[in-house]
Amino acid sequence: MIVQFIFFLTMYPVLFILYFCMRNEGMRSDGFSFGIRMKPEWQNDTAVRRADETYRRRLKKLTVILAILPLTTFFIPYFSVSFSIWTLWITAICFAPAFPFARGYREIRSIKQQKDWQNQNRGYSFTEIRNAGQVRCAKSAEFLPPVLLGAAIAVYSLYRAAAQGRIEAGLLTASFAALTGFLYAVAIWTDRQKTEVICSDSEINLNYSRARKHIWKNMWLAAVWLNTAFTALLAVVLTWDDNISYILWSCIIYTVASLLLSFGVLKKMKEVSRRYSPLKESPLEDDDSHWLLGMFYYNSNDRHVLVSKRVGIGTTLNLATPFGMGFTVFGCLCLLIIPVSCVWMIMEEFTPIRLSVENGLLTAEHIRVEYEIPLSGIEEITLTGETPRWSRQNGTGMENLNKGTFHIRNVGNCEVLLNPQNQLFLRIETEDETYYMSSADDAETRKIYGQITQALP
Amino acid sequence: MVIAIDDSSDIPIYQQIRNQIVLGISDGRLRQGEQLPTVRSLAVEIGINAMTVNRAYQLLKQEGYIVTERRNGARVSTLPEGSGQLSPQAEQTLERIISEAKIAGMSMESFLDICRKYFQEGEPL
Repeated sequence: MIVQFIFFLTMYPVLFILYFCMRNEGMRSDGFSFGIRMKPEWQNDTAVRRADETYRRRLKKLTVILAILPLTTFFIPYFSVSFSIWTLWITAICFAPAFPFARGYREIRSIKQQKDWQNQNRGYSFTEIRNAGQVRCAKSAEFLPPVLLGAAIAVYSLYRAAAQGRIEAGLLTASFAALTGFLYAVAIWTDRQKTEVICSDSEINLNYSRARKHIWKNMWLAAVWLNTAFTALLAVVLTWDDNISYILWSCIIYTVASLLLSFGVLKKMKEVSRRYSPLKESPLEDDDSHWLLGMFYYNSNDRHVLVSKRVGIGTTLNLATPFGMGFTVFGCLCLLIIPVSCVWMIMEEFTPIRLSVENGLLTAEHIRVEYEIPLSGIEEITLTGETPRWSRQNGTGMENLNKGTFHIRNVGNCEVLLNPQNQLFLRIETEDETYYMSSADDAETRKIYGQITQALP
Repeated sequence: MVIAIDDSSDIPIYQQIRNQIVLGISDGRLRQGEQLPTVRSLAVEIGINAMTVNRAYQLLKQEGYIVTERRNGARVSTLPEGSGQLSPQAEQTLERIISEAKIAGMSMESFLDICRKYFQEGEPL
């Protein structure tokens, strides 16, 4: 149940954050309706207002439906099922708002065509050449201390974990330190975006871009420090104390802090947009043809990889660039992992463990053959009523399944395949390994114990 | 100064950049001696190949609108007293535009009105 609460606390608010972010996308004050450039007088047209109202209604309905779905997990006792629901739900809430948005986009596009609202600058792209390439806010000197600190923590954590024979713990810490480096790279990349052209006055364009880049820089810097702090905490928890509750709580704090940070940026960006709104000239550019469904940028004449988003805040990829295309394909492949992992988890939870003794071999199966131990190699076997306090290095840890390599403090690693709900377990010592196992139920485990002890000299 | 590039135009992009900078100099948006961005910076900013910007700068340099310095990059030239005449290239372009105006049935007065409008537009050099 604790996992349900963690999911609920960290993921559930995302739905409402997304709702509040998306509901104004049909009528943005910066001259976009559903990602289509509009003049203020066009936005005030009755047909456009009606399309926006319809979109809001559809979005609200969708949000209500999506808000009900995950509550069902509190009535489902199976971890894998509720985990699957939460995972698929979080994927759905990221993509579902795109459907009413796309309908709204099509409506506005057809209204624009019907009313022949054409921009005289159609086909032109505008560039501010004053101080080109010099409007930069992200300085390496500010980012390097947390990045280097994270790297140092990762190196020390890897060294300490390797000494303890728990390299996985070190690798997990190192991966978060690598994420810090990635965030730094994104910060620099975001900072190199072209100057936004909102009017013909260079000073206004430059100040507007500086204001936006300053907010981005501060956000990335805070994110980098937050990630370094989390890396340090992970290193401490994983290599000094294996208390899983510390990790869970730090994950919650990390997620909440990230959400608050995003909220802060959203608020500041809106404020900048509001402040510069009166200075903006009626749409300079008319490049709607480069925006697929108003959301995806595809322009083969533009070599910029990152461009300002039209929906939400931040940047999006130019899908016509090799990097944009590659990253999109990679993202789609990553999405495929979600349903596969759900099926895998359900199979893990619902497949019983099977131990068997045949032809001088102890075979442990769970979905596939996990271990085959020659009876001649068993040095000692005990039937025990409890398992030691251990921490999972890799594998599965569910209420009814412990599987993989586990670490026992001051003893070392052992291989585990058992149902913790059982009362009886086998502890098997071989020359190289220690195994903890159980069969589907206690009677079966006792029977296997009898078969092995009879076979042993 | 903001420049506009038309991706769908038949005019090559380097020529468009050149034209826009000349326009900027003529209407005072670019002042004499003003620093221009480096070839690389401008290419990155527009999102085009650096060779295209380089070609535009070479053209502007040949025509005397800009000077390039090894250390400081490019800047708008301190233009000498003009000859008071159009270059042969510009005259050819003007000839073509006048022909188009004639074909379109434009009167000389209307054409001269447009010429006056653009001649008077912007700050004086």
